[in-house]
Amino acid sequence: MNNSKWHVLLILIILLTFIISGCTSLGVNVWERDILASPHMKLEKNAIEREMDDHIYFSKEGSSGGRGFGGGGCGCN
Amino acid sequence: MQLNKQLSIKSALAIATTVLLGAQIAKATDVESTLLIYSEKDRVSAGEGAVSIKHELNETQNIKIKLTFDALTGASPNGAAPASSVQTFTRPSGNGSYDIQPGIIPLDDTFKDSRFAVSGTYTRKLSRLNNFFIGANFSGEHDYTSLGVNTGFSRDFNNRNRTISVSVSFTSDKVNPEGGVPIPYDTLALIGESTSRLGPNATKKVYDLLLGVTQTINRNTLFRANYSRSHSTGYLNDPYKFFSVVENSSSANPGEPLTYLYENRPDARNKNSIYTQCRKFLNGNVIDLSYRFFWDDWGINSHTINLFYLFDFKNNTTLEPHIRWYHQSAADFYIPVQIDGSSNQQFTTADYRLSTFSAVTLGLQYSIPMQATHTLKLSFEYYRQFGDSSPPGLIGSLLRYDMFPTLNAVMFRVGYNFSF
Amino acid sequence: MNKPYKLSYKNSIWTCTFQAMASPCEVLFISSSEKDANLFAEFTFDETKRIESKFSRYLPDNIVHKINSSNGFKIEVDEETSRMLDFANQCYQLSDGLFDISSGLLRNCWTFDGTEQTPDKDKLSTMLKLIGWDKINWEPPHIQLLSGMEIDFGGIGKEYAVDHVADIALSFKISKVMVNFGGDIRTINPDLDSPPWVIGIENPNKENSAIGKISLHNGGIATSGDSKRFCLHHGKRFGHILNPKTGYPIENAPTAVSVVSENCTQAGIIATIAMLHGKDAEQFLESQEITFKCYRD
Repeated sequence: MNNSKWHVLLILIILLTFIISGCTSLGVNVWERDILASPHMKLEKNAIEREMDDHIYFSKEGSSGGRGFGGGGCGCN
Repeated sequence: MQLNKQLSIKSALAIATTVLLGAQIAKATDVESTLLIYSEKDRVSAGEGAVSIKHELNETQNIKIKLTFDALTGASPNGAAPASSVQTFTRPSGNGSYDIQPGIIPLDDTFKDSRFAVSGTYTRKLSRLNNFFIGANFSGEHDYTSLGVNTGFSRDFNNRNRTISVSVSFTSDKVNPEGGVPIPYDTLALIGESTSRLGPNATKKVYDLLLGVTQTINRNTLFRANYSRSHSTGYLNDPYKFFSVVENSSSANPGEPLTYLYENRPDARNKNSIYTQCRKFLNGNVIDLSYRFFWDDWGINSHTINLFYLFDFKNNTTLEPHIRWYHQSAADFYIPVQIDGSSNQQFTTADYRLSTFSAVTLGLQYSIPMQATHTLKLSFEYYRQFGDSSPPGLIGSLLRYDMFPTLNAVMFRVGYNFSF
Repeated sequence: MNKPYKLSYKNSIWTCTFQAMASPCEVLFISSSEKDANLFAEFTFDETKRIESKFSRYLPDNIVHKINSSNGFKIEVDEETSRMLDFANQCYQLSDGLFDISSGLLRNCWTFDGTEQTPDKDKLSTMLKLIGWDKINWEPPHIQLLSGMEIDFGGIGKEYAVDHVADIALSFKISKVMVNFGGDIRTINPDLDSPPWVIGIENPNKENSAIGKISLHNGGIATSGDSKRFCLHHGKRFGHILNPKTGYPIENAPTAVSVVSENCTQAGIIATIAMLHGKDAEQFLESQEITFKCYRD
C-alpha cells in the first residue's frame, strides 16, 4: 500500500511540474505549426495497428491500458 | 506574441493561410483497414481483420465506426506443471480428454474461438477549444460477451499548445464458459464425472478513468502524459486455468502431480498506469519514444518502453523500425505449483501471464503511398516472451523441467488506408 | 432558368463567369461530368456571394457591420470569422504592425482622386487614436473594439474566397482549376506532367497591355496597388496605401506589386506588405525568395 501511495505522489509531481513549467515557455505560434501539422507527427499515427497490438499484449501480458482505456471486452485474459 | 525571425514572412504566411483555409477541406471520409496473421511457434495461430471508418459530418462533428473480426485456434497453457509421466486432462466441455507427454508444459489444444467486435464514437466540437466524445462498443465470442460505453471531454489551452482531457468508460462483461463456471479450488473433474458448478455464467464490470495532457514543446516536439485507473470487479478468473498440487518432499515422488485445482483470483482489481510519450521531428525523420509504468493491487508492476523511428524517404515511402521491451513482476498469489500438505493460499493462480517475465518485440513497417490519398502498409513483428525456467517454489522432479518455455510469435500485417 | 452566372464549355475547359466583389470573376476548370461542372459552378457562385455578403464592409447586417457598430461591447463571432481574425492578427504581427485591418478609417482623411491634399491634422490625430489592432481585445471567439473603431477584411476577403473556391473544387471531382477574381488568382493542377495553367499578366499602369505570361501548376497570384488612385501632397505623388502608424500615405511606394506564391491569400498579403515597405519594397520581396513584379512610374 505504501508503495502505491508513493506512486500516486510521483504522478502528481510529474504532472504538476509539467503543467507549471509549461505555462509560458513551451509551445509555438500558429504559424510555426508547419512540422507539427505533418501527418507523421500525429501522436495517434497508425492507430488501428496500435490498437491491434494492444489487444495482443492484453491477452499475453498482465498489464493493460496507458495509451488509452485498459481494454477488456475479450475473454482472452 | 513574438515574431520568430528565423522564419520568413512567406513561410509563416504559408502556415497561417493553411490554418485559414484548412477547416474547409476536412469534410472527408477516412478508411483504415488492416489484416493480421499472428502465429506462435507450437501454440496459438490467429487471424484478425479490422476496418475503421471515420466520417466528418460537418466542421464540428464526426463519427467513427470500427469493426473487428478475429479467429483463433491452437494450444494454450492450462496452468498445470510438467510431470515425469503422461498427464491426462479433461477438456473444458467435460467431453473427452487430451494427453500431455512427460516433461512438457501442458497445453490445452482445444482453443478455437472467433470474436466479432464493433465500436462507434461520436465526436463533437463544443466550441472553438472544447471537444466532447461519446462512444459504445460491443464484442462477442461463443463464451464471452462485452458491452461498454465511454465518454470524454478535452480542452485546448495556451494557443492550442496544450490539451487536457478526461474520459471515463464502463464495461459490463459476461463469461459463459464451456461446461459452466468452475468453483475456485474445485478439483478438475475426470471424464464423465459430474461436478457442481457456480452456474452457467458469471459477470465482470470494469470502470476506467483516463486523464491526459498533450503539450507542444516546440516546433518539432510533442509530449503526452496519461494517468489511467481501472477498477474491475466480479468474476476475474480464467475459467479454463487450474494449477497442479504436487507430492511433497517427504513422499515417494516429490514434484509429481496428485491433482489439479481450479485457480482462484480476487474478485476485484485496481490497475493504474502512467504513460508518457514524446514524438520528435529529426531532420525529416520522426522518433517516438514512450514509457509506461503500470502497477495494480494484485502485486504486478510493469515497465514498458516502446521506440519507433520513422524514416521518411523522398518518394514519400516510409520505413518504421520499432522495438518494445516489457517486464513485469508476478502477482502476489502466483505460484508455479502448490505443494501437497500446505494449506490453500487465500488466492492462487499458476497462469504464466501473472508470473514474472519479460518480453521483446521487434518490428518493421513499410508504407507506400499509392494514388492521391491511398497508402499501403506492410509490417512484420517478432514477439518473444521469456521468464524464469525454474522459479522459486519448485521441488523434486520439477527442478529438471523448463517451467517457462520461451514463447516466440510472428505477426504479418497488411494495411490499406484511403480517404474520399 | 436565368442563372446569375454563365457556364460555357470550349476546348475541354469549362468556364464560369459572374460579377462579384466589385470584380469580374472567372473560374476555369476541367471536369469529365457535366453534372459535376454544373454543381461546382453553382457552388462557386453561391460561396463567393456568401463570403462577399459576410465580410464586405459595404453591406449592412453582416458580421463586420455588427463588430463595427458594437460601441465598445464584446461581440461573439463564428468559427470562420474567428479564423479570419486569427489570420489578420498574424498578418499584423508578421508585418510589425503595418498590415492592420483597423486602418480603414484613415480613408476618411484622404481622397485619392489625383488632387492636392491637405489633411486636417486634428482629424488625423483623432483618427489615429481609433486605429491599431493592438487596441482591439481579441479573445477568441470574442472581439471587443474601442467605441468608434472599425475593421474591414479588405486585402484578405477576396483572396480568401479565391483560395476557398479552388480548394473546394477537389470535392467536386475537379482536379484542375483556375480561379481568377479580378486579377487575384489561384491555380490547382496536381498532375505536373500535364500542361500548366498559363496566366497573362497585365501592366497595371497601362490597361490591356500584357507584359508577360506566367506558367503555373499550383499556386496563387495577387496584385496590390492601383495606378489610378493617387493623391498629391505638397506636390508629391502618393499611392493609396496608408501607413496605419502615421496616418500618411506610404512614401515612395511602388504603384503596384504582383506576387506569385503558394496560394492567393499568401501572395496578396506579401504584395500588400511589400507596398507598405515603400522604397524598400523590392528589397523586402527579394528577401522572401518569391517570384514578383514591382511596378514603379
